[in-house]
Amino acid sequence: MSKITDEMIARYVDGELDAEGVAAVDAAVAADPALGARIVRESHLRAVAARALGDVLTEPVPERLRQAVEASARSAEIIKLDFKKPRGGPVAPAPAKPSRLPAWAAAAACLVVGLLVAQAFGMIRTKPFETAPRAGQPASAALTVALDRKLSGEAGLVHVGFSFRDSGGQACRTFQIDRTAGVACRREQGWSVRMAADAPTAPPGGRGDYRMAASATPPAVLEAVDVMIVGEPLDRPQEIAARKAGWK
Amino acid sequence: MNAFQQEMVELLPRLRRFGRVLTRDRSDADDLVQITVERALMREDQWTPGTRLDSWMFRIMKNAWIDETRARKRRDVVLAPEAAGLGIGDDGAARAERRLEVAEVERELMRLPEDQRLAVALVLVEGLSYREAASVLETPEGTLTSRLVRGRNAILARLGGEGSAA
Repeated sequence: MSKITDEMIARYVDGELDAEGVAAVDAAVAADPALGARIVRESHLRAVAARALGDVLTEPVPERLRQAVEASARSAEIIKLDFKKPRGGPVAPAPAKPSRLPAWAAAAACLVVGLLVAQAFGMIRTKPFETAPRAGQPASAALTVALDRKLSGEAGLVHVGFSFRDSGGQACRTFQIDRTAGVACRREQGWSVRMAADAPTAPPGGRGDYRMAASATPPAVLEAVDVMIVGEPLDRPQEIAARKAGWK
Repeated sequence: MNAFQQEMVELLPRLRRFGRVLTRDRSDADDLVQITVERALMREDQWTPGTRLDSWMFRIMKNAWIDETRARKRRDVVLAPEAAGLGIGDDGAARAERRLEVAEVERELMRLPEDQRLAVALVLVEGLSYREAASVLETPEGTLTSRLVRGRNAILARLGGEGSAA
């Protein structure tokens, strides 16, 4: 049995595990399908829990709470004014912004890492649709961990096919998670999924057959790469250098 | 309103959500948010601009709740989670199945003992890092981590299927 503790699993799924630990978990998963299933389940929990109590975020905030902020704000301003005379113009409290939610919801979507890929993991057991990484979305924690740290062809739940640079000079990598394959590119804030498509077969996982990686890439992904790529795919030394440089 | 207050207004939905995790009751949650806002405004000078306002306010809220529960001890009577009135809107059959699953996780989250419930909520629902969550709860990171693991295992075990392997 593997010596992977519950804590390591939690940290892996939450993106809180160091590189050494991630490697240990990945290696253990390759040899222990039950552990893989466990991680899928934990990832799925994370994805679902991120939406728990979501109704509170979209319902209107009671007026009294908004007033609590503004009322105290007003008295605070008055006290300040009494002590030191004006620091600016008049202190009429600005009318509160009427919009509350959408900006927030978007921020939440970005903050809650783990969602998309965790869902992708979830699809192994559950419904196929809501789960896959989608084009235009930021990469989740698990995908980010893999894209940041794995060299192409290494075993694990997330399989990275190969790396290349796009016309902006940014690093991009092909990946596959269960039956979803795609391309993610490094942006300032992290990895962004540029395209994703169904993959006919499970990733090559675990047998060290990494030169197979490119040929196992689904045609739709290769087509997307064709459009994006500038130059040749990175070779192993270039990939190691890029990883060292944080894929910048 | 200054930037501090503006940011606070934007945080209100999340403060209300964390309030529900703490109190397991809608109206208690909003009362707690109000107390939290008032305390936070009085302590504006204790907040370091550039640090996370959410963690800071969650911490104030957690402490306000401790004060509140001390004041009314009888609160420890276990609230049936169903009574907490966690609404599940029914907009669209397409989303019904997914929402059911979210509702199950919500229900199990609310059944956890408070220390595990807060750890799970801060990390999985609010998306804080372990370090930030530990600072909200004013516990060492190791304590946070073990509460988180126990809470997660309990949820997974209750949701059936393959639970914790360990």
